[in-house]
Amino acid sequence: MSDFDVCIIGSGAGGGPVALQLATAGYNVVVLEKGPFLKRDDFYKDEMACCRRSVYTPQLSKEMHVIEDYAGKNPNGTYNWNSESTYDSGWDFWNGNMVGGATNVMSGFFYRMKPEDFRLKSEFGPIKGANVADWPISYEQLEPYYTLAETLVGISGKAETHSFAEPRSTTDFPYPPTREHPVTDLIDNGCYEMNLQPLRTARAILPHAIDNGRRGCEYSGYCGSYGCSSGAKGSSREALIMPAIATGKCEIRDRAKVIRIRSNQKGKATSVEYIDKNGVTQHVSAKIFVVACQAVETARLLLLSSDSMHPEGLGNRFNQVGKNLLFSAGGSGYGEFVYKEMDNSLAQELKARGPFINRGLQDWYIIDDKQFGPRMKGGTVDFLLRHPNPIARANSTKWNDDGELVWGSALKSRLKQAFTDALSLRFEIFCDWLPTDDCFVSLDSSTKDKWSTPVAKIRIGYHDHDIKVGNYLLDKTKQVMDTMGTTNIRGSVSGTPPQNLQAGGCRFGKDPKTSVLDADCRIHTAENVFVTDGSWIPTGGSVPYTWTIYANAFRVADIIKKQL
Amino acid sequence: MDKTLKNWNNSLGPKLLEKIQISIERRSFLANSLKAAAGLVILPSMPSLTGCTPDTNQEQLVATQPWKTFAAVQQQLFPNDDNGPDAKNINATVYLKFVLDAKDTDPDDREFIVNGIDWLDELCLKQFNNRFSACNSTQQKNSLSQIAKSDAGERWLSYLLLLIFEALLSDPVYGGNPDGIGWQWLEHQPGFPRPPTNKRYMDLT
Repeated sequence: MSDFDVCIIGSGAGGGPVALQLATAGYNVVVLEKGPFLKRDDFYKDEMACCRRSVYTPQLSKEMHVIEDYAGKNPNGTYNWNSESTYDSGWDFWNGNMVGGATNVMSGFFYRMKPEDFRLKSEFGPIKGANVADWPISYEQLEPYYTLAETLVGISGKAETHSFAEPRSTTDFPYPPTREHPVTDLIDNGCYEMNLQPLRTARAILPHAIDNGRRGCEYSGYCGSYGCSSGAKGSSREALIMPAIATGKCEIRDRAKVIRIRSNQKGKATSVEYIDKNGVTQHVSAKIFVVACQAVETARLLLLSSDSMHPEGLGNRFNQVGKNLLFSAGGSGYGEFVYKEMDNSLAQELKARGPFINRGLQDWYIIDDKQFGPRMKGGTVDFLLRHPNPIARANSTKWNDDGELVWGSALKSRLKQAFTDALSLRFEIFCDWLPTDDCFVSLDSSTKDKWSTPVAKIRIGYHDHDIKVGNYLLDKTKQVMDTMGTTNIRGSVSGTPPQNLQAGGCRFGKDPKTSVLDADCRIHTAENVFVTDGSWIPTGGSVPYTWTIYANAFRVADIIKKQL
Repeated sequence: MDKTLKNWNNSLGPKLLEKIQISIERRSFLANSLKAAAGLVILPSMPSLTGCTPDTNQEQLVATQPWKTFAAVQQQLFPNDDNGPDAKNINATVYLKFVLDAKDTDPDDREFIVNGIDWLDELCLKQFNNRFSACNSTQQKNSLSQIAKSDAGERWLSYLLLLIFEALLSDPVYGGNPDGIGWQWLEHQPGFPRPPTNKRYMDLT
């Protein structure tokens, strides 16, 4: 007799949908979450809590990763890799360790992937050095769950017709767009002038209250990086975990660090071992296990769950766990609307803080430009105001263009100028991070965390094609920024991974030799273990992952219901 | 590394963590300081760092060492120049003590920040026959410019500047930025709701 029908490890975008759907269906569910259970009334607009201190993420002295970065090429063509602990580098790869995971602190700009993203290899052909693959499911199979997420998570927006619009089963979003910042008019004008189509970005943010106690957005202007104080943001905690708890069928155990998944002699998972908030080792058994710890930590947990039936780690019979890790390729930049160069009334309007920009471009989602090369996958450009974090912003002013430290009155002048002279309009470029043999998760043989378990080692190699595509979009975006009237335009594309946009590592597929999961996101070699964070994604698409992770987790919840 | 981080931040923006900066400064600063300290005599003056709260009075605090010297350094870094508040106005020294007293502050960081004062005083005693706080303004500027030429000294100053920015722009609940003076000067609109005294970051973990 199992303790629970379903045990879910992790409570973010992969765990929340499964918890809600199965608890609603009457199954007994337990969710084990490594981080604390912070509630709505724990979230304030406090840069110290969100971003200057280790509150939402672990202290790197106690829990770290090891990053393997490219360190040059040998004469024989092989690469050197330099390993460094994130405790030494300060490069934090954690993203929201708390009930609801990183969705608590997301900006919530949401995109669906497109039908072509599900069949990248057959649509655009192979790319040398990249492990491009078609997905084992189609867009049409996931579409109903994208739609379900719109309602259950609370996604606002406006469906628009354009060249690369995804097919929808409903005519429009269940919630209208959030209020928009006056700068959107300038963005729109610039885009129209270039015959581009600015699109309203959907957001996992409610524009008004709904009947389950979530209030509408209060437009404080502090959204990304911050927890939501109104309940408007569609975090897994707010939108899914809290309703799951309300069913009376879902128990949350926070500060529960899962050490391993245990299996029986038939290879079937039977229980998980975790350390509770008091440091005591506990076990919980279940019929079905769902792993959703975010890509890096999911791969780590499976690798740590080795036993006689899974000697290389759970699901790792063909050495695929951790492989083909994905981030988001591309880059970012900004341009400035200088207040003194515009009409004073417009300047005052642009100084408003609170409403969203809600604008993006997908005109180059597929690049069909003979001068650039054969038809290929492109990406998305999203416009945004910089996060308001004034301390981080101030700190960026203390070095001059020659790299010298500035202080005294000179520093104060720079500060005043940086804060008051212009509106900085940022852009971010999202391209596919091609899966390669140089980007993967393994266990570090020497570095251990505070529970004495090996930490994840992450090799972060990238494919040069990512840079090529990113720069194509950057050039186009700079033209847009210039046309809309910004000055001091800067931007760059690099192979440095944004650690908050993780996927892959346990890709799904039909062949157990080249994938960890089957099309249902079930481990090929463990019939009662599913993975529902972004780990299953074989190719990244050119949008943030969160909506797709939510949608797929709703899909897997239906599959689990049938299996129970 | 810290210098390149500025460019890195500019190029990658919000897709990367913004809190990365303090950690990188901390680790690099520490590594450099250990090298630099090898040739120096560190004065045995590690102060008592207990009992500070955001209510601590800046005037009273800076009457004692090492806070008097910290305050003098901060005043040079963030002076009274008719352009917004100075270090004193934002309770920069009280805030610094708050950080040094905080349980989550890395002990290595704490020791390094304090040892930096000894380092600076040693330089001033050698060159001006006075501790830093007793030097005139010209001598103080001169000594800061000198230490900024070393990696460790530059990073020490960089770290103190970061803590000045925190005092200037964090919520007043942490002891700096009284009545939002920093926000007002930089025309920064704070978010809402703001943290109450029982929901500061250290109350959440």
